[in-house]
Amino acid sequence: MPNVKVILYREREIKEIKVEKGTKIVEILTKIGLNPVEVVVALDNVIVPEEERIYSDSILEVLPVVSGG
Amino acid sequence: MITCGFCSKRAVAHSPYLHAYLCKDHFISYYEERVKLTIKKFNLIKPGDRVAVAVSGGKDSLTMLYLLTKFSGNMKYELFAITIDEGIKGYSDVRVMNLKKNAGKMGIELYVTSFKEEIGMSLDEATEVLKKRGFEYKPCTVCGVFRRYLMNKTARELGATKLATGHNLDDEAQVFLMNALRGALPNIIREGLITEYALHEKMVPRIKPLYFIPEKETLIYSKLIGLDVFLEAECPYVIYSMRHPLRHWLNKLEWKTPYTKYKVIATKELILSLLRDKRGREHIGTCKVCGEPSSTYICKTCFYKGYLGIKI
Repeated sequence: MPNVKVILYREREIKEIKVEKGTKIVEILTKIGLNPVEVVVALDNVIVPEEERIYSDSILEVLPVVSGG
Repeated sequence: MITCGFCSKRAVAHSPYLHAYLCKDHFISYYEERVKLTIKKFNLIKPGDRVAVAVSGGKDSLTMLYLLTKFSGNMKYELFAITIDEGIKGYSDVRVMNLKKNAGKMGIELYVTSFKEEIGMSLDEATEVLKKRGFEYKPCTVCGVFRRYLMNKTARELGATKLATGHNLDDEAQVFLMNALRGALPNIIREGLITEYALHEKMVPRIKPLYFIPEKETLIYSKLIGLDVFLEAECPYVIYSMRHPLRHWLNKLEWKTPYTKYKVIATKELILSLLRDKRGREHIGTCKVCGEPSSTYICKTCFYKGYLGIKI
């Protein structure tokens, strides 16, 4: 099972989670309680659509979309 | 790996507008074309214009500054940037610093005006007063009024013929819904892609080049082209705003029912065209205290200054 290091910029938090091979990023986001509309994700330093699947150990950066106010 | 709908390269994002996945290159050209088309189709900027670009340093305004700079040669207009230092400790200061660095990199002149100097009180100080008075008025309301007042005044004094703000599709949908919930029809009529509907000789027409762009796409674009966006911090007073819950509610709806925001904007545009045709153009009056444009006898800036105990 791939190990995913999730970096949450807004929350200033890093989570290490294990996921099934082929898990979609969007599934990880909703599991954490994030709305995919409100974040942009980068997988191993590359911006990708949330529908992208994870097959190996990776780093997932989660950037908040909502700005200052 | 998800691939681009136009070539076989790896996709970076899905564009609901195009119903397609796009690679880096196609996303960048799609984004830039949409902004360019908005400017051209709705005649936001004309050759010879002097555009004041209001920037906060966030992804939207910085992206707008970058693109307006990029388009300025071909479209034959000049531009400069302005920013308002609200005086929110740990927010405004970091923001302005980052902005100076970015404007410098783009070779754009940046003018900074502050609440403290121009209004007489920083937002932190104003919030203390508002708190003591039981938050009858919220910090975001007062900040918005002061900001709009100063942006217009500063832009005009620097000779601008247009004032560009980084409002995006999300902002516009949120504001429209807020106004609808409050039954504030005059506010709905006044807001738009270009605000030359309300006339006053001291009012610089405001334009919103990112009007049709979801903010998520702007973040993707700004990251793809490597803009140094002020991302980590959020204004500490956002919790007092009605927009805070509304924005999340709207995003939840968007997630369940894509295109919701586009539909809200479409509805708004429809209402605008119907109402404006009936009412004709609105001539705004002048504040009897400061002489700035105002739809009421005394403008909101002077009203809040009085409420906060600032000498007018």
